[in-house]
Amino acid sequence: MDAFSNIKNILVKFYDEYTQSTAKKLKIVDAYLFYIMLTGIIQFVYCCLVGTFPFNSFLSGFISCVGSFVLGVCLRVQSNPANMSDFKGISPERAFADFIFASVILHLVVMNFIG
Amino acid sequence: MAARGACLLVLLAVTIYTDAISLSNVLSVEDQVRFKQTFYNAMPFKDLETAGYAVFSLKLLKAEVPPTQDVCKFTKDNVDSSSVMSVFFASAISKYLENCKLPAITVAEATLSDAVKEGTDMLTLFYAVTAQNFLGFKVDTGEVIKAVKAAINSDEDSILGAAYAMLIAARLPKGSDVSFITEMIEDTVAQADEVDNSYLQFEAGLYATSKVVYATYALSEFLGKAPAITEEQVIKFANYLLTRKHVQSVKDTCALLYALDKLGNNPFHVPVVFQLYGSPVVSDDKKMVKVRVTNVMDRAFGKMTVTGTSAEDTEGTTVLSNKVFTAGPDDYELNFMTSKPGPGVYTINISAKPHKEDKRLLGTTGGQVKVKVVTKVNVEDVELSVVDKEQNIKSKTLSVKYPTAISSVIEADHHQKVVMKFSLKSVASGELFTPHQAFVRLTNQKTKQEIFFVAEPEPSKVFKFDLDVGATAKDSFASLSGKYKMDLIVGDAVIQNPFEWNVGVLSLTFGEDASKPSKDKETMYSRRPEIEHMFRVPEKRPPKAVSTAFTFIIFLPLVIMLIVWMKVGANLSNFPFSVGAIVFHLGLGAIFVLYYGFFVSLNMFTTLKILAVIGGLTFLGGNSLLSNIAARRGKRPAM
Repeated sequence: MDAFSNIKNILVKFYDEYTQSTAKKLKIVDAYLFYIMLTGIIQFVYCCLVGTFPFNSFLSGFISCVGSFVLGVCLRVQSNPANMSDFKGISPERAFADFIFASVILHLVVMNFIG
Repeated sequence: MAARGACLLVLLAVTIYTDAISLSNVLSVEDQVRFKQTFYNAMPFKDLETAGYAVFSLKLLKAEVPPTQDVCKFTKDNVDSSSVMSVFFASAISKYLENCKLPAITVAEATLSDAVKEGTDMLTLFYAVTAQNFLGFKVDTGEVIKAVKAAINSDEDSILGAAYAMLIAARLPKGSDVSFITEMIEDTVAQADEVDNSYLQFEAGLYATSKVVYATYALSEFLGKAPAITEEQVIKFANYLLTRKHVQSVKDTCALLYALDKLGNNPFHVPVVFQLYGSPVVSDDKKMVKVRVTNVMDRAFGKMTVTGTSAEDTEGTTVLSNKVFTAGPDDYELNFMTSKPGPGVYTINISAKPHKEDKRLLGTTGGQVKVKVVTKVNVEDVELSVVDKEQNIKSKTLSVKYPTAISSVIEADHHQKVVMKFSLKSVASGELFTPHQAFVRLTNQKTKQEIFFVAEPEPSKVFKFDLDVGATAKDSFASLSGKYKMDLIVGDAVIQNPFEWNVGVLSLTFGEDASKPSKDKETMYSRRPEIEHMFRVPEKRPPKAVSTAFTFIIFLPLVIMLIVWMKVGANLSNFPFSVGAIVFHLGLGAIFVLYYGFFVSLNMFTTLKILAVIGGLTFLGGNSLLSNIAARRGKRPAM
């Protein structure tokens, strides 16, 4: 019981810390990442339950999720004020523009592959 | 002394060798008739040359030129007195035809005498000299000899040239010095090519060969001196000429005819031909072997003693020695069966000796004719038995006589063998005989399929046919049990009565593995099922409800995200309504709409073109928007 409450305590503390000290922009990005992750999980579950047919559609959908997630993480890392020192020359706007550009390219390929 | 002995030996060897060759072919009466027809077919004549050859040949064959063909008038109309060749043929035809005087032509005399000079070729010289001779003009011997010498020197190798030189020499007055031409005979003959050790010919062909042979003997006859040519060479030349007796052209036929005629009748060498007269088949019914002894023109010589020196079969067994043939009206015959020859092919060696000695005759001792002794055969001691394979016990034995068949059906199964023994006896000699062909044929009575087996003679010459029913079942009979008709077939070139005898009916039973090969054969060529293309079977799809449910579920995270965003406090209050912002957001939306279009219908190239336009605009919009935001942030402190 102790352990459980312990973990609960940690989680509660973590959540409070997060809601208080994280910037609003980053929270929006985190929500986006969460959405991408859930979509990917649902596709994977579908594939496990029903089968991979049509395989290229599944693959492109799943890769779209993974790619978008990676790009989202990049955006988050680059626009995090805590990492300002590591990305000196890159403003959050520049990071957002890169994110948009990479997503457009990624989805062009995904659309091509989806058949 | 030793040298002389060696010489004698060589001479002896040559003599024996000469004996080995003789002629067996003639220009028969039928061939001569055919030749005549060749000349008649050339009528009406198209030119003087053909007319000339035909007239010479018909004269030699003692045949008439048909009066309907006015050759004399044709000649007079066509002669061209300025051409040596034309004058030659005209004069020759006029000479051969009798009652055909050519009008005196002074132009022709000039033409001919002009032609006789140094530098003229041999053929023209020959034409000129011969025409002068025929027309009774003066022949300038000295000039001719000079011209001939010049022609010889100009073309040394020409065989025909040599032949014409000899013919010219024969037209010159007796006593002219033509020894240099006589000497050419030996050189010319030496140039002939030998084929198969039995033919002599010149490379230039039949015409040249014929001309040389004719000219050699014409000149020798004219000079009264034997030509420098060996007997062997004469026979080989004759052999060659006779092989070419189916020649077609008028010119060649004429040359061949003259050459053969000279070989058949000249004062020096006359080859003798031994030829079989009538059928070469000898049997008990027809015991006589008939031969004719003639010259190459198929003309018989006077009375002769013809002796069969020996007769050999193909294995070299001699059955006859020194039997004299009985003289008939125009042939010589011998009862060959008195020598008791077995069936087979025999070569009889013959020699002939004229009652009145004739030194001209060549090849009188080496004649050979081939005869075939045939016989009737009886099949005897036929014994058919069925033998048990393992114990070697005869379970059944039947004997049968030709030509009846065994009435009962003989049964045999795959544990047994069918053995048939028989012997073939020559009726004439009563000896056992082994023919070339002895087969047993089994015919399936249902399918009419025929299976052949070879009956092999045992060393004792008794035939034994051994059918191992079990061992041959698969390969020969296709394991098809049933009734088979059995025939014995015997044949040979020397059997007069080859036969096919139905011996009886066998009922063969093979093992259990009787497959159906006949059906196999039928289906082998029948129509096969059509091959259709198989598309890939689509994979099993989930029920519609499941996929639809998941389609909705996939939108769930989007809703969750929007809720979270609202909770976090995202809002549009800060949205700058500038041109750049609107273009940027519309552009992004347009890009996603374009991607949907790409997914639904567009292809890659159109998509990329549109994308370049929209992307460019979006970039410009985004650039101005984001730089605006960055500029504003610069004024305010960071969040």
